[in-house]
Amino acid sequence: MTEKEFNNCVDSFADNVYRFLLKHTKDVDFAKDVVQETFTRLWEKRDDVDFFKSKSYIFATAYHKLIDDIRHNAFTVYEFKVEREISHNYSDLKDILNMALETLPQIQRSAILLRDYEGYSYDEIGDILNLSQQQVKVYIFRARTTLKTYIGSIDNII
Amino acid sequence: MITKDNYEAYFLDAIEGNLSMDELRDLNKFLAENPELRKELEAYDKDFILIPENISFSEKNSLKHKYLFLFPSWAKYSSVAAVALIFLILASQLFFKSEKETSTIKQQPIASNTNIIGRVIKEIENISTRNKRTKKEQQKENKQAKQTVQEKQVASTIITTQTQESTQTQDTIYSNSLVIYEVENLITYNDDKEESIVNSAIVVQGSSQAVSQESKHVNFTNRIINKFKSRIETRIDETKEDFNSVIDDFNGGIKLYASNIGIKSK
Repeated sequence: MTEKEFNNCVDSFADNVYRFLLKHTKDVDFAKDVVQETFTRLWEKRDDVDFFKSKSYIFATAYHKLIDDIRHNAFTVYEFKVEREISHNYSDLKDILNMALETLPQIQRSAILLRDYEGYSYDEIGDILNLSQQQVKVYIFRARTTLKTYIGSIDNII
Repeated sequence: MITKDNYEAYFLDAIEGNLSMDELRDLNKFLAENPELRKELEAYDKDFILIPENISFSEKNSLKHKYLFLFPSWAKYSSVAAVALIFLILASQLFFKSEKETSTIKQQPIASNTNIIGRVIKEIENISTRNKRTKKEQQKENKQAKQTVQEKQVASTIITTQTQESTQTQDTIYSNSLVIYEVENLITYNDDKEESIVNSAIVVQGSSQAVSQESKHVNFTNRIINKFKSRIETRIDETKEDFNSVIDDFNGGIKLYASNIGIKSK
């Protein structure tokens, strides 16, 4: 990967990976730090990383850093947030979806975000998350079912 | 094989139409054995897709490599940088050109002075050589003509005067020296044979003032020297003609003497 390609990666994927991280944590500074560390590692490994596989490398690196942080910190922080925020009134579907996402287990959330937000195939998601294709499909099915169920329950509440 | 741990994957493939006939047969068999799971399959909405939000990472520039970090600035200010570069090049060329011309102008007088000094040194050397030769000739003349010590002082005066005329060209001074040398030779000859020729010539070429025999050491100017030289040459030619006319009447011994005169004159 050339320097120009590296900067193209920054322009193309920095927003995506930052969004991916923010969907897993509300800590903006932590998300920025992970993005910074991710692209720093990509720069260090630019000679070994093919440009056309750089996006998967970026997301895999960011995901692993996220997992490391979650394992070192409170693993259930998001569940507490959901319980705290669910008492609020939401009129925006975006807020409802974000709240529904927070109810998902981290692995399901990562899988469905990579599938719906980034358009990855099941194989690519498996490579990023270190899962088999069948596991990815299971998590995505469960995540989508949970979200649909959650949205339906919110609609009933509103 | 479809189990309760992976049936969602088969459900997803079935909804997306990715199962083969054998897999569909296995799935139907599994649903027959687990009818409570059929509701999950029927509740799944494949069109329920998350819509990406527009979230931007505002610190992209800090992620880019330093070398290309300035690339947008370069593209943005490239025209300004090009103009500035051209201006600097022109300014530097003008500066060095002006400096060069100034130095050339300043060096011209120095070079001229150097030439003059060099020429003066050469002239002094020539004059010194000529002075030595002149002194030698004077000594010879003194012996021959038995002149006084005052004549030597006059000769030294000539040298001083000629040094002051160092701005004259080298060829001119050499001509003067040659003429003087010729004159001295002729005088030497005339001292023995025709002394009156030189005396009359000097009287004619000099000013209205009376010129004595001693004035053959006067510093002649080019014009005077050239005229004097031409006259001397004329007289030499006349003398030679006289000798030639006499040679016809004398024997070969006299001819040999005349040829010796010619060689000495050169």
